[in-house]
Amino acid sequence: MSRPRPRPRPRRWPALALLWLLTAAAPSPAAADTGATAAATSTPPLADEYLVLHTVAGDIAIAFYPTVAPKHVAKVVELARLGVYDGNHFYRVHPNFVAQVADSHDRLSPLTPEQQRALEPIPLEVSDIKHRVGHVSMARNDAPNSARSSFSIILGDAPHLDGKYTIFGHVITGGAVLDKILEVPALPPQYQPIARITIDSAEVISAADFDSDQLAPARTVPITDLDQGKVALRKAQAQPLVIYGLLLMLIIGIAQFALARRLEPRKLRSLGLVNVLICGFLVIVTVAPVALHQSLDPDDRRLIGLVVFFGLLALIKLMGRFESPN
Amino acid sequence: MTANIHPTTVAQPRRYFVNAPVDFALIGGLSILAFLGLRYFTDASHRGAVSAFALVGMWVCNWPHFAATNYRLYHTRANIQQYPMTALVVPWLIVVAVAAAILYPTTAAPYFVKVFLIWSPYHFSAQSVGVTLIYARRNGFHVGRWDRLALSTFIFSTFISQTLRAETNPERFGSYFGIPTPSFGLPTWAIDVTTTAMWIAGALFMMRVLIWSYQNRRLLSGMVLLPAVTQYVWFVHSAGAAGYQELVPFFHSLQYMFIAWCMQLKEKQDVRKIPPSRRYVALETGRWGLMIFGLGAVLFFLLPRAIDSVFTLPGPNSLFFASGIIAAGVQIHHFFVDGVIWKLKNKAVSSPLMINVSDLVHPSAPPDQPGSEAAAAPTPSPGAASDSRSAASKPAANAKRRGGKKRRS
Repeated sequence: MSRPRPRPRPRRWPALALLWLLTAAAPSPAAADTGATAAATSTPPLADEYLVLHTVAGDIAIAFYPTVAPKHVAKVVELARLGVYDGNHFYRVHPNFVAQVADSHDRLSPLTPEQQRALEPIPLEVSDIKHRVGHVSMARNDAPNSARSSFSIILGDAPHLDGKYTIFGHVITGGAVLDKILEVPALPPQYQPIARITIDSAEVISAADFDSDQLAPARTVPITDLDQGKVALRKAQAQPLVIYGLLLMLIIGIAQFALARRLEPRKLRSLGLVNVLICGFLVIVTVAPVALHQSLDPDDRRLIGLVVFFGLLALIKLMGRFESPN
Repeated sequence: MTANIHPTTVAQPRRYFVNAPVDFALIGGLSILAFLGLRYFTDASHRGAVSAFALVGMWVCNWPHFAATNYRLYHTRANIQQYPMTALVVPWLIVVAVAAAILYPTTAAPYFVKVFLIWSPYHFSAQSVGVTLIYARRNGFHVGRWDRLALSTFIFSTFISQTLRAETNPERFGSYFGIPTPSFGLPTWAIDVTTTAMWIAGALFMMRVLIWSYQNRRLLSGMVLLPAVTQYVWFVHSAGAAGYQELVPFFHSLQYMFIAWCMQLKEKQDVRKIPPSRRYVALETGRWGLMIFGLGAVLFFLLPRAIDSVFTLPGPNSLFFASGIIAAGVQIHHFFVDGVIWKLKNKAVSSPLMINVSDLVHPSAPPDQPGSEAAAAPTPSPGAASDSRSAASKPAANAKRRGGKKRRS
């Protein structure tokens, strides 16, 4: 990691500082222009390198705090240079809280062995810097030293994170880009955007070469029919389908009963399997959305998901007995 | 036309459908070589070429392999009568499911596709078990109940562990022809459990193979292990080579078509009492190939277009949606049909899964003479792996049951 040096001032800084002054009283996530709020507080020395995220919504530039979180800064720079963030995305955009980059395993392409080796846990480096708008904070699991690659851009003051998570930089350019990201509807409880906000690449640029005018401007994130379909899927109501399915099962059951004396046992058993298949499908259609996409306890969701998954496998295996003579 | 023209073909067990190189290539060798080639000699820039190849492979192999199943079940009335529920009831069930998916594109369609997406690798795995059993039998390797359990656990765990891996993030959606498919959001420890089960089962089966080799003073043919190794590459390592996952269905279909082709030649020859000749093999291969190529194009290319033009389907890209739903429907139908077509019986046909193509080309004594190994027990089938008991053990169990009843009476 490079040696710290006196804080360089990006060209937009005066405008952002003014913006912060205007928005400080009532910071809105959209206009909460990033570096303004964060940097306007007591800013530690910055590194002479910036991280530029080239996203589908435009470019975001981040300055590092090497004296505050040297290990985090060094690791993020290393990961960026190895291309770990390329193809990743903002999987969580929670207005007034965070825009969080996903775990690196959620990239578009699998990690190379070299990238995987680089993803070692980073020790926690807490400081007295507060989680305010524009700061960049490392995400982690419950264990303090479990941070690896995922980080968040803070979109609203989050004092409950202070002293628990490592702040290692702040956004210097990209407020308008965050506005565009926030335009993408995100669904609670995880606030996952309905469209993938991909980070095409992440680049480490020296401060001397950095020119904010060279950054890609903010642009609207495309929302496809597939994205809309996902939203519809989450909001879908299965009741009519279930009613028709039950009706079909009833008809097959009656046919099974009426033909019991005429059909040979293997055919009757097959009719029973048809009913089991329909019933299993209806269970999946009704249980899966409720269990997986509502505000349930994560452990309960995983358990129900496991039951549904292995139930489906059992159903498929059972279908192997369809019209079996034994 | 006498047995002494090719006496060795009668005496030797038929270890291959054609010969070692061809069987090795089509059963899995080609797919492993393709994996190695893509893994070590290409990068992401070749992805387009791989996709183009996969598209061609879909037309010439993948679609026809589905068509081959339908052709085999439906091309004679006798076949339909043997399995009328599968032949006549299942298609209507699929039609109802397809209609439900079209009528409820946001409720039924994603889960209909999801069922298909889980069933498909299950079907691949079942075929791998079935092909292993065929070659085990051809090589005189008896797969007992526990051997089969170990083999099946290894093969099925390869797909289950990888499927679990893709299903751990509940916020991650897949896409099939633009139809979003939800994730089950499974716990990550389930991956470790199935991966451990896979290795333990694989080690147990290998131990059994080594014991067999020691007892028989010869190494077991690699063809017996090839389907399991291939399956392992398909599911556990396919993500490590750019675009390889797109090719896996092609290689599965190739494996299937190879065996189906041999069966088709043998059955037709036996039923119609056609004398062995190169001409017969060439002409029947051409006729059958054209037939299933055409049927495949009808099922996967023309049918979605016809449905899209007749019905009002949801979404701006309704043809895409129709293609996805029809493809899922045809393939689920294939999974059902595949469970029975290898069990079809015709008294005129003898052990079609144990043949060597040379029998169809050169006149020779029938391989299944009374007392010969091939005639002594029924043959395992590629699609029968989903049955809980081995194909070979069923008739024995039935005979035992019948015998038991007799004694009781």
